Amino acid sequence: MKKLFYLAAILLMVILAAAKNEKSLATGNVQLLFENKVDGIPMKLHTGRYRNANGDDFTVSAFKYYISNISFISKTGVKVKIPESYYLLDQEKPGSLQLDLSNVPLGEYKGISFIIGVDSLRNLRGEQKGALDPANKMYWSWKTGYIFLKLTGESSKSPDGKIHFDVGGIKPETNTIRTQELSFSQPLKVTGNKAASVSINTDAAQLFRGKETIDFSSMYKCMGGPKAVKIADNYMNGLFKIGKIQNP
Amino acid sequence: MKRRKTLPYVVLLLLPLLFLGFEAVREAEPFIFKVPPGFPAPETDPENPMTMEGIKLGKALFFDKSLSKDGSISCASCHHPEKAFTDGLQASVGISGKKLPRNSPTLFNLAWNMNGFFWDGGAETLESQAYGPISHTDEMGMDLNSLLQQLKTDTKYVLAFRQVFNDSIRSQYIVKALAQYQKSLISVNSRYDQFMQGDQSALSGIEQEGLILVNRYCRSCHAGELFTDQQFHNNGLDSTFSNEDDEGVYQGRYRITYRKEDLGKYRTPTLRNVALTAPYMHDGRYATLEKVLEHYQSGIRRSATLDNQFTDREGNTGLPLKENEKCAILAFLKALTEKQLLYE
Repeated sequence: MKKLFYLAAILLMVILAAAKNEKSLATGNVQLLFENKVDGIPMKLHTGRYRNANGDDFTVSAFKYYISNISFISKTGVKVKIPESYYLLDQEKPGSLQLDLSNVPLGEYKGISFIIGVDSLRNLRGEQKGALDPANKMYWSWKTGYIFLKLTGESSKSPDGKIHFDVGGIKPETNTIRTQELSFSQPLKVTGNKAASVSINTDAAQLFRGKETIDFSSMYKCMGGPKAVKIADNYMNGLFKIGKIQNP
Repeated sequence: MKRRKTLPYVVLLLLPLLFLGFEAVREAEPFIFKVPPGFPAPETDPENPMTMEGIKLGKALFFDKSLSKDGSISCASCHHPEKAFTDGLQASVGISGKKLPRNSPTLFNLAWNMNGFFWDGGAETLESQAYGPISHTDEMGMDLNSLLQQLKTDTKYVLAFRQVFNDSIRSQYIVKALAQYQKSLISVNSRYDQFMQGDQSALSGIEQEGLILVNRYCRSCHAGELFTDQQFHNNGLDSTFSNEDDEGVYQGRYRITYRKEDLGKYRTPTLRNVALTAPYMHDGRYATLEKVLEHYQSGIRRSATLDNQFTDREGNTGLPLKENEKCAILAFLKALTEKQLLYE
């Protein structure tokens, strides 16, 4: 009887140790520091005056976008996914532009990948809290799904004086989910100590140039659909630029 | 020695506490769905299992006017139970007083609803649908954050949400509770149903004639025991859909899919309780069922996406209905009314 007890105790310890081992995959902190700009000039809501590639003047009253499904790319090219990574960046809330990731597996990374927007599954199902809470007003009320990126403002070229671009949609014909893969200028070292940080510049001017130069006199608003696809195809290349890498 | 003797007493003393704790976190009682004969079992949503308490909470929210910005309307304002959850208006009116572009749809038998909600099917789930009317400036105009704050000051709601979702109040729980209540609204006990279950006296002679005519002329779209195929059709209401105003609200299903073939298509509404749900069509353009029958008889307008069921081999449109046949159809449609639903 006693022998059996010891045997069971040892077995339990082995199981516990194994379980702990699996869990103790050490992680560290990474900060992603976004800065929103328009053509290299820091974005100023309402007061900043800008021109798109077509030469049309515009101001910005709101600029918000989702970053989700973040993965870090290891030296060997393996994508290390950060679970449940959904962030809503809002120019009006400076704190929202700093993403604190606390669960990045230790190691060295050569790049990062993420979705601009929300994966299609999470548009339809799953928990809606934090960044995904519809109370954040980035959830369409007339069709199911999130607005991935929103830019509103004014332009004298627009027929009604306003510009309003809501990019989103997951239907095959008008899917606007765009994945970004960006290389770091130097390896990012995630250690158990202090947080490493990556500066990322977001250039809103990229919404209106690239695949198709947007003319605000003819295209001044969209709520998903083919027009939103044009904007997404534009910002797909060049919306983000990696800046400084700061290792601890 | 002494310790051993006190232990049972300690346990005995603690036992009532155990029950107290049990009471406090009592799980909500699952709602057992009784599948009516001839109906498929509805799909259950593992992300929003229905409970008696969840339905009760949803019902309280549904009739609560404080869900609108100015406290003047509730969900029930445009979805009256006594009108089979419609409002009798050509187009519904919310807090802004502005006429909405749509006629209020019925809300029963939604547990079987597939293929989306709203006339254009834009909402993929009943849960996500609810965010629309609550937050739209011309409907209930409520800011979700304000609504959350407001509900959290009401102890009754705090406790009810805790019991149903085992959590504090969140946006998602509001729409989940509303969905649970709406999915519990079932209409399957009209005189038609009694007739189908073998009670020959449930339908009069003219109503039985009407049933045969409805089966012949209407059931390709108003199909099955739900009296809807849950599909989108262009039934010839308009000849063009070029008006892109209000984010394409006049373009039908196209607004959601951006497929040309979906221009002017709207969801088939059920015929159950249809006598209670005037006016008719997605924009409430027909005041009476007589007008609706006239439309199908002689008012069909052609367009590229007109459903081919409305044209015969010679290319003629319209149902060849005689006056007495129209009377029979109207008589039968009234037999699809369920009195009991009125008291739900």
